[in-house]
Amino acid sequence: MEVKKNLAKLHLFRECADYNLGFWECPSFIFFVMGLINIAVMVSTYLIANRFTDQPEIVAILVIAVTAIIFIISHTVTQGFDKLAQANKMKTEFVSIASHQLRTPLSAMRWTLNLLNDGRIKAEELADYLGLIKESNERMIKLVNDLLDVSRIEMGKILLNPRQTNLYVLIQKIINNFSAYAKANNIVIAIEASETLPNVFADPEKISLVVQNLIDNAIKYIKGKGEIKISLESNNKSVKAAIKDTGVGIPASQQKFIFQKFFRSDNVMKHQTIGTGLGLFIAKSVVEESGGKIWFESQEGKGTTFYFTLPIYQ
Amino acid sequence: MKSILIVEDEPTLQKTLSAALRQEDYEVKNALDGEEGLKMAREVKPNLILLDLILPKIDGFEVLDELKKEEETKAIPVIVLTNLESPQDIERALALGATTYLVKANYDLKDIIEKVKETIK
Repeated sequence: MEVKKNLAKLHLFRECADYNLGFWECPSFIFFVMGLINIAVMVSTYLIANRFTDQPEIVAILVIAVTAIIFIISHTVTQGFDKLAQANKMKTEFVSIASHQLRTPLSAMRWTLNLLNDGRIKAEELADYLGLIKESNERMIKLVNDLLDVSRIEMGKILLNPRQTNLYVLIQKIINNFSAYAKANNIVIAIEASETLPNVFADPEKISLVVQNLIDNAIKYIKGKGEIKISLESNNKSVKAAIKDTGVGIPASQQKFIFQKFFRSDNVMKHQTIGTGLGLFIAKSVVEESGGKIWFESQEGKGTTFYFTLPIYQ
Repeated sequence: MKSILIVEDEPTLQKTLSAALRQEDYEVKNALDGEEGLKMAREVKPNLILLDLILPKIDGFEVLDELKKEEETKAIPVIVLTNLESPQDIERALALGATTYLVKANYDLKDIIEKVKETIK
């Protein structure tokens, strides 16, 4: 047993130790055990084969079948545990990302208050500094609200209050709110829709959050000058919105993780982004709970288009 | 007049820090991303650099590494000013040549100013 313990402490299973996984939850350990079982089975099939030496085909088939079964089982088992490990890792990362996100507006408020307390601020600068405190405060409130949304979604208790909503007007309002920010980043936002676009049946506050998140992402991931085109069209069942940007795109290898909680694209460090990776997770939950679908098309270096549909108000 | 380069992408942090340092009669220059930070360090050759770690384009660690490799900039003291606080990050920054590592959220402006004064006497 001592030998086993010492052996185990080697590199072989360090990754599991990092995630605080016990041996039987650890994929590499299970693979190790599977390997041993495999060898044991091979040996016993050889011994069995000796009894059927006049029918070597049976033996061969037996061996292949057993190996195949073991391989399939171990593969599915390790897949399952891999997911567990990843989920655990994301949870820890979330706490550290969220607290990091909170630290920035907290520092901003602290230092602004330092300056105001010192009394060396000129009267005409006062309004600016108070504005900075307000901004930091709003940021923290948004973060907390996002976290609450996420936890409600997890518990299946998302709060939706759907009613007749004019999607064109809703999006136009959001574009107006973003206009200063977009202009500062050299980005033009345009929207087009037919005159006869029907109203949708959805919660305008929650859908606003979705649209805000999509436009915000589009702006954040456009390097330098760019444009965002929003178009609305409908069929007899639903209205479809497309938000197309000329941004940096999402690398193909990461596209399947995009809607996952806390996931942020690899180019996070390289492109200025402030976010917790919760926006798209929330967006997907809201859209789907509202009876719609959300998806995207993206090419690295060319840009991304996000689509979502919402049911028409009947 | 001594000059300080602040490499920080958060506008509010950059504004308040700059204001506080100017009140102490330092000349303050600002860079909003890692690339700009390196460029300005080479051009301006400040007496001190206050460097954030999470930056657009090139992150703070890379900036620090480059600064300490180049003849012209390696002698400039660098105080890392960040909200990252894991022991690995601290170790890495210090190993790359940072003079001090300060976690922004734990300090008032006046504490940072004190550290600045200590570093460029």
